[in-house]
Amino acid sequence: MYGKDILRISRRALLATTGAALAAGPLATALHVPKAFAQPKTLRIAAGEADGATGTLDPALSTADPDAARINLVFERLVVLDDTFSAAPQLATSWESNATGDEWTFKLQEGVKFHDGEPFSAKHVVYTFKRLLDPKTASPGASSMAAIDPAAITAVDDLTVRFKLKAATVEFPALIANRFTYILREGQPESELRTSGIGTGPFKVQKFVPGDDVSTYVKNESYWRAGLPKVDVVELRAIPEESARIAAIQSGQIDLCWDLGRAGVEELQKNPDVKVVTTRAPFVLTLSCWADTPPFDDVRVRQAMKYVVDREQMLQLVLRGLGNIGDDNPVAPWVQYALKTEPRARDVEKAKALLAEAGHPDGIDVELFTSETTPGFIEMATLYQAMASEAGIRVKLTKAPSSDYWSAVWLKQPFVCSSWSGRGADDALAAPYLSTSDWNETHWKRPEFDAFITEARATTDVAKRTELYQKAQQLLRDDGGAIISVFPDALGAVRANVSGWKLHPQQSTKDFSEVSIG
Amino acid sequence: MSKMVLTRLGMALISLLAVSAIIFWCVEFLPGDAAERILGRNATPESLALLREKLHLNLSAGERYLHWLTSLLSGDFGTSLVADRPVLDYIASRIANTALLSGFALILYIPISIGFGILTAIYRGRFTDHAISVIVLIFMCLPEFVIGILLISIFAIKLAWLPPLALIGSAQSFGQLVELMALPTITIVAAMSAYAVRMMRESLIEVLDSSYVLMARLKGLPKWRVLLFHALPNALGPAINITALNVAWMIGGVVVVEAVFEFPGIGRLMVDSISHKDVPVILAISIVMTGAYIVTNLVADLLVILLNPKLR
Amino acid sequence: MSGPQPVAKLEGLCVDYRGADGWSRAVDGVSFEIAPGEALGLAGESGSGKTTVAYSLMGEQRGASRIGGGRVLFQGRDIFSLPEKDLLALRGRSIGFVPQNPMASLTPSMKVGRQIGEMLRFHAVPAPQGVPARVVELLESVGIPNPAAAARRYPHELSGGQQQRVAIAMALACKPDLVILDEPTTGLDVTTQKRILDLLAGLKRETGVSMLYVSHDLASLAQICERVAVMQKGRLVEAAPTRSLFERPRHAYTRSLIAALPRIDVPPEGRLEPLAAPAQDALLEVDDLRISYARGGFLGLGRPSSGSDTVKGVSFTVSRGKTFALIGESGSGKSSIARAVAGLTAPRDGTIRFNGQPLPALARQRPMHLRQKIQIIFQNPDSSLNPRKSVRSILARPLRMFGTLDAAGREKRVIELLESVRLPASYAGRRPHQLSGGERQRVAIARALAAEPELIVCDEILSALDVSVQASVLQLLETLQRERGLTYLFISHDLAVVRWFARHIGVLSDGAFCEIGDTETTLSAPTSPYTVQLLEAVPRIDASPQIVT
Repeated sequence: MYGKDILRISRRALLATTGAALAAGPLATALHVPKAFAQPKTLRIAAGEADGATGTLDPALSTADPDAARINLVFERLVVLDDTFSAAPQLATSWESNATGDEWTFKLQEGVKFHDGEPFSAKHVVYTFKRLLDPKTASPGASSMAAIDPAAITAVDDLTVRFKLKAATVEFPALIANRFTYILREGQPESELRTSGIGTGPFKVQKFVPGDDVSTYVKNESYWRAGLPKVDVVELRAIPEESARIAAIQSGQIDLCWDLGRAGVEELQKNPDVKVVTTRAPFVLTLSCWADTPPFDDVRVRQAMKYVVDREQMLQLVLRGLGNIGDDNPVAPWVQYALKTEPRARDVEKAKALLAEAGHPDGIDVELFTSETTPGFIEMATLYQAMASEAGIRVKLTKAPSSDYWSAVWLKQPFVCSSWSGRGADDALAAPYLSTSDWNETHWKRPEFDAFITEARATTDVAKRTELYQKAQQLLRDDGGAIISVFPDALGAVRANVSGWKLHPQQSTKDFSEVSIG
Repeated sequence: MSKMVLTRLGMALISLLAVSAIIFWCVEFLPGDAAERILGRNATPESLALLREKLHLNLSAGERYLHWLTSLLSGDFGTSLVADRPVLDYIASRIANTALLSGFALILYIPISIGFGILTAIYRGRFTDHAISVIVLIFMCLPEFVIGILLISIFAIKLAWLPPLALIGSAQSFGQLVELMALPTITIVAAMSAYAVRMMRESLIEVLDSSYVLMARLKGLPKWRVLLFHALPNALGPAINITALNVAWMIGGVVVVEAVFEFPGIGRLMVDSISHKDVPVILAISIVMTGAYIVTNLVADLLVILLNPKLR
Repeated sequence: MSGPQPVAKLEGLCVDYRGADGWSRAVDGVSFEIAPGEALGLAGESGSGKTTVAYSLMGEQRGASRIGGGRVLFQGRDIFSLPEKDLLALRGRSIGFVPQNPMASLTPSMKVGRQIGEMLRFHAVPAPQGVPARVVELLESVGIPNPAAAARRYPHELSGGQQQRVAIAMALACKPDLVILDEPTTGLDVTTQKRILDLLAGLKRETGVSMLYVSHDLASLAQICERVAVMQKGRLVEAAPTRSLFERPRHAYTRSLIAALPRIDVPPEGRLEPLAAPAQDALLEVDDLRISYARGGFLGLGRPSSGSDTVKGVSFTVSRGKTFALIGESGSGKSSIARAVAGLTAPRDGTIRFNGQPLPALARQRPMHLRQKIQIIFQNPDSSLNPRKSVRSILARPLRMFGTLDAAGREKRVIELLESVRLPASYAGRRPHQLSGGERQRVAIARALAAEPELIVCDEILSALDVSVQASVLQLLETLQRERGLTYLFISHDLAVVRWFARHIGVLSDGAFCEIGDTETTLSAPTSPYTVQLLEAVPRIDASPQIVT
């Protein structure tokens, strides 16, 4: 009744507009200037963790992943770790200790300038460390460096710094190669440190406002390493949604990203414009229980819980093969001082027997907390539940919200999923398992273990030290409350035209100085 | 009519006050506080205590609220606990972004909902009606993030016509801005217009069957004129009310769409602030959202009154 | 007849409608002619097909209908074979249309002047003084006071009569050759109706326009039309010049229609003379009743002032077993009084006494036995019967509320009630939409009877019914009154109906009685000028139309 005439014209118009719209698409693509050719050379990188208003450029307070990214662009450290987690030089060229290992002297690199032209010298190092250890700064990194006596950091001369330690620490250089010890420029007002720190790194801050979605950094023209960096501008943004990050790199909206999950990687591997970058990393995924709480307080129960794990299957199903097998030892086999053992094979019968011996012939009921906060947690927990059920370990899975997992669940529940970023042997053993550690997630207190560590730290002889660390690892593996079955590889992706980037296994270390485009 | 506007504005102020109080107390019940959020995993009891003192979190809840209220009355929205910036400054660009997105969406949404509403009403019962109605129904049922992800995989990845993420910080020209915001805009419009199309269809069908539309046709007027001047103004009422709800939804920041497209809007800022328990920001955003909602409804009511002389 | 070509001519028109069970013929072989300058009346009850005929003259097919045969010619051209463009040009320009319900037929969002103006603009009617001025002229010619201001009003800001005048102005704006009027005075007050009829007669005289006047009200047809055609169930049963049709109707149906007409001047056949008046026993006493709908004070919390009263202090008495009629036009307050008596509206002031006892204002405050004794029947059975319930459950509800019967007893009673309103027992299982308008009103009467009341308030119960149905419902009410001694408070605007039905009458104007008393004396010798006006406005069949020879 109505339609025929009233819209005879409109229908034609509709077809015409649709046609125009359809044509406009390809036309727009043809005219679209690819970002890569825009001048100047801009490297767009994306972090996988949300970078909200808590973002900071102050190394002493750096806790989040995007913070680490930006700090690595702007600052440098005395010492960095290589991928076996041994110390390598950066701003310090060489170091030596005294015979007892409680006094360390570092020789500094010559010819380094801060972004404002101020020459780099020992006084800046002294300033940085004193500030880091100052309780007023409230840095979370202060406790791990409690060994340093803040009053006894001295600038011997412009290019030499000496540290006196309260206790002998043989691995002192590795100890200070952490995310907090980037060297600041003395004299910069405290208020500027959060957003516009001046460092010696390959890039200068152009604009960083916490809470803004993108921060920009420009090339440091007088960077001390010649020929670097190879790009003019770096844009850093955070894209916490993994699917969004993958879409962005596939379409070329970003050039480089890390912190990818397994599923996304598979998709990217099929895309010719994108290269997937993997690095073996001692990132630890663990199921940790309190060794002082029943039923976990019996070592046989803890061992039974370790025997039910099919480690190869964990690797395949949780990590899709992108990783390495662990043997209930947080020190990865390729890291310095690692204990190389034959990974514990799955033995359900042995597990049942151990449980029976411990007085649980019908098995035990436990509650395992997991969350989406770290990739792999849920898969690992679910798989563990299935594996453990065969031996009579009935696991009840509780999924906790990710927003406050680390403050409300970790360290507060007796059996949780946990993770530790890749670190060297000492740190991997001490931070979670020393009986005095603030972060003793297994409540496991063994004076022998503590003694091994302490002694190892004081032993200057490398072979002896290795033996001590290995003994500690053996003890932890057999007696401890951590079930560590896999070490996930670190995964990242770059556009096909980007080269020179190595994904460092220590998550807080990111090196963009050698990246080039095209 | 001006009396009505004044009364509404008065009630708006009361609503804003009530909203701020309710939200403040609700947020209070969330576990943890901003200091814990900021320090995260690396929190030690000492660093927590220091930070809490710095942020005035050691005062009681009532004191904090009153303090906030009094500074609000002098125009100061306070400082973000987490970002350490004045709140207004901090949220201003986000509000602007969300407003821009809402504006684009509205520009697209109005012709689509009216147009498709008219089409389905005129061709009711025929193929066009069924086709459009089915599509509309599908969009009504699909959650926004599914629509968003679908659009990304088709238009951004397979066809590469549009960029997948609305990273508008890097837009250098207006054209680029439009390009970056195209997909989130379409997603929002797809989600919203479904309801409006159906509403438009129902009310237009009713109006087209009315005696006055018949009369207009019997006057010998051409059908387009009957539709435009006699039918539409009387059919738009319910559609406008639905649009008001939709616009309020948009202005509140469509968190899901913002997350999928990484759009720096006010929705995600709100969620982040809640997970950080950044109370001044939460309150400021709530006030803005409530205010926007009230204004939108007022405008819609005025429009309806304008269109329907019987209400004047 | 030979002479100038007829303006319109129907040749054996057949129109079919598609219903649930296939096509049914609504108009069956109707033929007639309208000569230039002639007004033809098309009479018939609802369902006779007269509206369909009127629309087909405009080339309009309503709903799912098709032309089953025959032709409609306008000035010699076959309307249904015209291309759309030509038909649009004809409509409005050469054929005007005055709709039934002007409130619903004028676009609510457009100012009245603009609605008229767009006709002038679209049909390119020359208006040397400019379209707005011409519009004002047109409004003046139809008797709208303050035409310039009225043109800037919206339809809802005008009264019913003014709206209809606007519609007439709109129809005549382009000086058409034929005007079709579809029940133009239905729903209007009797005095307004008279004025509109006068206006139409005058316009016809001045412009010589032909008319097709469709109505069920034979009396108003008689005022204007030179010839009248009668339709029954789709067929044209009789067509003759007006006077001869009324004086010597030939077809049986025409005769029955004329007989059913309530005549203000002639008592209906078969009516028994009222018995000698027994002692006046007052059943209902209303004293100084005041009702107001205004909200006074601040934000509606306060007492309204007396200036805004709808009902301004009425007092009357209803005698047991008799009928008291409240006559008035729309806005006079008669419905408000009815609702107050029934307990649906709380009066602002005044008392109502029932059987000597004061009655609480609202029904829910009244004790059950009092609620039972006063029942109300509403104007529109479509909206007063629950469409989702069967007749049985509609009738059973008051039985359950007020009676003590068990299920079997109720069933029996339902059948009895249906019989008492002359409906077959098989109707008990039907739903309201399966009944005709008259049947629905009977069910409403049965529902009122189910409670076994003493007083029934009838609020305009006949206005929505066809003439013949009105007559039968009135007869039913009369019989029930005689058999059971029921008392009625009968609200109406139709003097003709009320004259022979009510013992006492009160004429309401603007919320107060301008005349109250015994019906006979009041109507034969009215004292109030308003009553006189009302009486004169009632269309009479034997009034001669102003014919142009």
